[in-house]
Amino acid sequence: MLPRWIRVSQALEYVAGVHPRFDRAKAEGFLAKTTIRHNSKVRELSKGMVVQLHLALVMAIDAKLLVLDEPTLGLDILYRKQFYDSLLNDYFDRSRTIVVTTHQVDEIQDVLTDVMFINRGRIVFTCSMEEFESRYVEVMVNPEKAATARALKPIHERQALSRSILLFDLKPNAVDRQQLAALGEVRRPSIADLFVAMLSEKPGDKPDNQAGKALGNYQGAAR
Amino acid sequence: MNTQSNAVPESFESSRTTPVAISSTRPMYWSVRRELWENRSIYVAPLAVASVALFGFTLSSIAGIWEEPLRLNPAQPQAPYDIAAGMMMLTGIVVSVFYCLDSLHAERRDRSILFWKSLPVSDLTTVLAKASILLVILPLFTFAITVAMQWLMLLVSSAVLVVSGMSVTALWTNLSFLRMSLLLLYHLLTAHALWPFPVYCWLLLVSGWARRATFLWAALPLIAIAGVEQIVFHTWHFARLVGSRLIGDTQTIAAGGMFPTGPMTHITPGRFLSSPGLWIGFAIATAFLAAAVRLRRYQGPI
Repeated sequence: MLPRWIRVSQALEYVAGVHPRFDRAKAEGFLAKTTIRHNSKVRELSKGMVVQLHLALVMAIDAKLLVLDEPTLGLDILYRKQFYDSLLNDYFDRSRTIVVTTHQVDEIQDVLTDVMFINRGRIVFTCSMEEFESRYVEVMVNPEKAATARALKPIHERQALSRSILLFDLKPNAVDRQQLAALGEVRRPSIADLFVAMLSEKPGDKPDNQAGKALGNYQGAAR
Repeated sequence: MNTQSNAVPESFESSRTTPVAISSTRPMYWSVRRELWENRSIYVAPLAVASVALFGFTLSSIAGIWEEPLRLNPAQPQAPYDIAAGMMMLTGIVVSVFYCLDSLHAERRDRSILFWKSLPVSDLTTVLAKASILLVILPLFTFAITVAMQWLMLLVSSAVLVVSGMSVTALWTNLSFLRMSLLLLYHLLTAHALWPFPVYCWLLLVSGWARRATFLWAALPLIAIAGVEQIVFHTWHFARLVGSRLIGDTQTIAAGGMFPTGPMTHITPGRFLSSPGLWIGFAIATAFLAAAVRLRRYQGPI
């Protein structure tokens, strides 16, 4: 959260002054691509510009581990997308680890390498995205085949447009993709669906869950 | 939204930005700069008061309302200079009090504490930077602005004398400007920085602790202690102690003149520095500061 009274130039000066791994030229480079003026105060900038400024400051810091806590909270959808795009294109270089905690699970599904669900402070699920994609399958089933599909023990079921959408965990079950393909349209599930499936099993849980996700090197993320 | 990054990664192999060597004084320097950016009243308020004082003095000199000093009363050639300096000291006290009550509160109120804490600047550095504003920066600003104001006052009165056909020699010889300035500097650093320092540190601590109404939280315990003392012992020692600390009233700083920069004043730095009151106050101030540092470590936005 940048202080509202600070000027863009002051923020740059300050971070350059106190942070040993801050590359001011890099931050200026990011800012040059935006419409942010150096003598503006943060309170005069729009919400999206504040995010761009913050990103410019963060991305110019050469750190191996970057922790972003709800980075897109309060932003509209345009800036949220822009945020992750610039984070990936300008910052991520495969030698760095970025840990993102967020409730907006859908928007980062495609950029993750590892995913972790946290419920009431405890890690309830963790896996790599590769494993996630090979292990979980969602099938859209017409009502006449629903009973057959249910016999295969889906971990979650929901209704959409008079069809059932069933989520399967392929690992413990003796089901494979061919079997499911015969029942209906097979799709890749979204993390949000799995999240709902896993955490709605216990009815006592309040929806104060948080999904923690790691981009990049998972070992580093766990440290 | 908040962002954190580790300051010192474990290995340096793949880093592309060569870390700049940051000496231990640099975070301190930038923290003080930050205070000046954030609290512009530190210099704006003294400048405003000095301008008003100068304007009033000019008006009275030209219109002849305040003739006494221009006619060179040999007994007190510097009365208006002292009064103007007194206004500046009062401004300094007001600015310090409001600065203290706001400093550790504002960053929590506007949630910027998350930004400050994400950078490698310790709580100790941050709190010490705030203390240095009170002990060093504000007295020096007040001094510089006061001296500049007094110079302009001297020029104005000289101009008025010249225009009205009188000699300026008497004014310039009777007014020992350098001595006055040095006494002022001494007075600001002792009576208005070192002596009230424990009170300011108390205010800093409260600003870092209270969630709202910092002034109330700072004043209530003091009023309560004074009230209890009055009821039990029928005395006002505590109230007088705090009051004299705040307005910088002590007998150990100097002896003689009524005004701190008066011609009869003898400064007694030895007596001041060896007075137990100063050191007891410093011990209390240190305890308050240490508590403020600890507190900031666990405080988040409110």
